[in-house]
Amino acid sequence: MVSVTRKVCLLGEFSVGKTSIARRYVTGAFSPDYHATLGVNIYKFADSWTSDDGQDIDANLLIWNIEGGDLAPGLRESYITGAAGALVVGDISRAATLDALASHAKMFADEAPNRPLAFALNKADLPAAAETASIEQALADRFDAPKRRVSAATGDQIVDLFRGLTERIVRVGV
Amino acid sequence: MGLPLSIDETFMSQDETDHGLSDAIQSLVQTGEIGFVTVAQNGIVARAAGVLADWAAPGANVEDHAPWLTGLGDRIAAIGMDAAPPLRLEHVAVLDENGQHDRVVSLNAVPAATTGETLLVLRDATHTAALQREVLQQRNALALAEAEVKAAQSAAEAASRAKSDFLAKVNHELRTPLHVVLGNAEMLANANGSLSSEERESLADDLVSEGQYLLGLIDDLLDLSRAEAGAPLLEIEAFDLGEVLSECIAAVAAQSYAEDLQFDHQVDTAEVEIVADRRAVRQIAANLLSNAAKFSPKSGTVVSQITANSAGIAITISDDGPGLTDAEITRALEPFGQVANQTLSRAPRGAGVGLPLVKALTEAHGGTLLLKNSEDRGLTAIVWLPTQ
Repeated sequence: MVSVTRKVCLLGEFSVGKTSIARRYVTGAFSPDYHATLGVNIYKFADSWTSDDGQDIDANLLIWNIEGGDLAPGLRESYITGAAGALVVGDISRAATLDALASHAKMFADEAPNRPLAFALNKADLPAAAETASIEQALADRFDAPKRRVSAATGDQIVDLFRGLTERIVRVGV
Repeated sequence: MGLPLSIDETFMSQDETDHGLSDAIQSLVQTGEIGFVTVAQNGIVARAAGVLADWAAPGANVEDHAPWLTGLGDRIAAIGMDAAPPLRLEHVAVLDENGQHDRVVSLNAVPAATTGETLLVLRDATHTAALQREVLQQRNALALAEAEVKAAQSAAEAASRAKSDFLAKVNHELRTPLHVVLGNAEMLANANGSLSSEERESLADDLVSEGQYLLGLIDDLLDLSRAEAGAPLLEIEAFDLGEVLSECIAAVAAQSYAEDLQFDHQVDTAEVEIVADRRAVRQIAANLLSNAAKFSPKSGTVVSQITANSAGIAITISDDGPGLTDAEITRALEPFGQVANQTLSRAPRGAGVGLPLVKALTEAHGGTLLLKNSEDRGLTAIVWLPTQ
């Protein structure tokens, strides 16, 4: 049994569904209404599972859901400080938010070197933007990070998204 | 736990008190919106006063009691040693299991120069955050609306271009066979016995085939127009799908004779009965086969397959051409969005009506059309039609 308490961040442009992803994981609920996040909302969630390689994991996650879009210089870096890993979220139906995934990932990698991150292409229940496949390929070429198409609306892949990141955090030992 | 509310004793030296700073800080604490905590270099709380400091009993570890400080202990200690820049957190809310919060915190961590400690200045931002969040909500909603308007404008411009392209294509597609028809008819009319019987037969054959092409194109245009208006006329009957597909293969094979294509037809039962509109299914199969033939290289192979189960019947047709990108597949399914293929030596004939018509007719039956690139071949089209 591995027991960990870790801070993980949710990063991405505004209205990509970071709050919905966190809420789906923590409460199992989803609301289609858009409520902008100001600053940071912190969710505390305890999860236990057995990984594919047979390891029992007991995780207390502090999920920092960080305001999307432009923030004052230095503020986002302060939010990231102390994070063990990050989920970088884009909206699969809006190409501009997928284009921005790389800059969010680079910012996290610069601020928290060698900490695991994973890409979440949210709203997979909607038609994907035409550029999605090429952007996914570009991310794979540039970052050693898994990516998943997820849907907070249906719940598809959301639990696996958080558990997968946590398992990488445990493996890396941060 | 009692809070040390006497800021004079807790934070200020006598010199500072003499300069009146104590009064100012005391006033801040008394507003009920500001709190102060000092943290030693080992991350242990030294002193605390004011709001939001109720967690910070002297001797406590700074990370242990406030979720907004999780992971920040090392950074805060480093600030005290001037080894890190000041830390600033704005509008941090800790949510309960229902996704609600009772207050919003802002924090600045700065070095306390004379002691080597870090001074945390905590502000209760609950009331201002509500207003700022509303402003942010409106700003983001406006940005989303602007993006949607731009996307709609871009789509409208693309549709306008597609219409213009379509008119040019239809003009070409209608005029070219008409020129053949008129030219051949004129030659036959003015021959005055100068043509051999073989020449007359050849001209007449071209007349018939070009006339049939024109008729088919006009039928497709009318059917697409009807389907786009939401009113395709379907005459539902039971018939043998294999027989219809074989007829379509024979017709397309004859049209593409010069390309030396192979047609490989696979069916898992001798007879597959389907309940559908025979003419629509024929159009679906003929268009998909014709597309596969057009995009196959010379001497290539077009594979067609019928599979059936209790829920429905799938018609799968694949070519060994170069395939399409995701963007090209999207465009090909839009009316008049025919995809040009630079890798083929010949330009495919057509006005970009076929695939949109196939999609419309398939969906009119309650079915689905899927286009995808095969791993070892070109493009594969799968039409699934429900049994009923």
